[in-house]
Amino acid sequence: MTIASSVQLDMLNEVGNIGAGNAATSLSILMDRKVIMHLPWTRVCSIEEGCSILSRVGEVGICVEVRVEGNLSGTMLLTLTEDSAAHIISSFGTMLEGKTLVDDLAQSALMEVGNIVTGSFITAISNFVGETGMSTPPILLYDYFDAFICNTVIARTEGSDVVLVFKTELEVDGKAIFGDLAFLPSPEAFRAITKKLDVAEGMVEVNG
Amino acid sequence: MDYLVGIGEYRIADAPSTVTTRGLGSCVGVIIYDCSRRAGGLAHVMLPNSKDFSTFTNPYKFADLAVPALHRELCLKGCSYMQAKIAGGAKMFTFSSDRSGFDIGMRNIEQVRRVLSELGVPLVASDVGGSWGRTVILNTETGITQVRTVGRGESEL
Repeated sequence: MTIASSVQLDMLNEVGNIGAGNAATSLSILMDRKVIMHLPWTRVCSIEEGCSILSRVGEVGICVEVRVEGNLSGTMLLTLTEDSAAHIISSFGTMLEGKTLVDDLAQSALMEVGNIVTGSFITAISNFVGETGMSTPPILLYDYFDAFICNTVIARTEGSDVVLVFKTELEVDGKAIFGDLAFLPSPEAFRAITKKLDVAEGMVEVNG
Repeated sequence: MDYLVGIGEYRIADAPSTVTTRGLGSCVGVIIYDCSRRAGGLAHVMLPNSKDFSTFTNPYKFADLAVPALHRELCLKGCSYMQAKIAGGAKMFTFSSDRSGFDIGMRNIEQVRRVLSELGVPLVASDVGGSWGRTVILNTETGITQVRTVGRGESEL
């Protein structure tokens, strides 16, 4: 992968911002709570930097991972601390009352939350840049952060020590829920996004 | 002293101390221990082979470079009767879209075994594979290595 210019990273950040905004809105509707999205950021980093950015070292949590195929191919992650995941489950009301994180029904609910949040992210950015991205069914892991994050980052590097990471922190109801929404685009997806935005910029100049 | 080994790092220590690495997924924790000197070390390797990469920043994330470095440092300390234990190398996710044969955990395990046999260090215990993470704690007093998991209990190597 060629190293991205700072302008290209800004572009990806902006596109990701649109995606994350939509994801936050869907989460807010789903949970009927106020969701705050922190300022997102985009980095080009080495494999271990990528891991330390996305991981919560030594902690245990939930990770919903979705692979994206098409021109916007990549990996999307929704990660939650144990407390946050438990809080989301409790917000579903009586249906999941008393269910813990190891319960199948609780995990399936969290997987659905992950599916909706990542799905609205991908839909928003694919509408914006006019390229297709199709999500595959989500996978959920309840394990050490380092264990699932490293695996995901390595699977995304494809033979280079460089990985592109977009990340934003979500916060629900003040401080009750902490989670990260991350997108690791493939080099092809990154090129597709930056190329589309270059063209759009050019057209504005011609018309203006 | 209690030492913590991060991703792509290694560390050696004398007794009495513990050396811990947390949350091994497809990564492999390699422990080399000398019970006569009661000293040992732990490496947290992420990838099998540095030769697959044209450029990289940290050599110790690769099994082919980290394990010899750990071994060399223990030799310099005067260790001669060394044994190895390994843990990790899981396949955390299985996606239908994955390219066939892409199992980084398995490749890490195979490479670590190869490097250990080249160095002439016998592999005496392993807890590898599966689809779950592991936290590994080496007690340099006894050489006993504790493996912890989320929801699958603890075991000793």
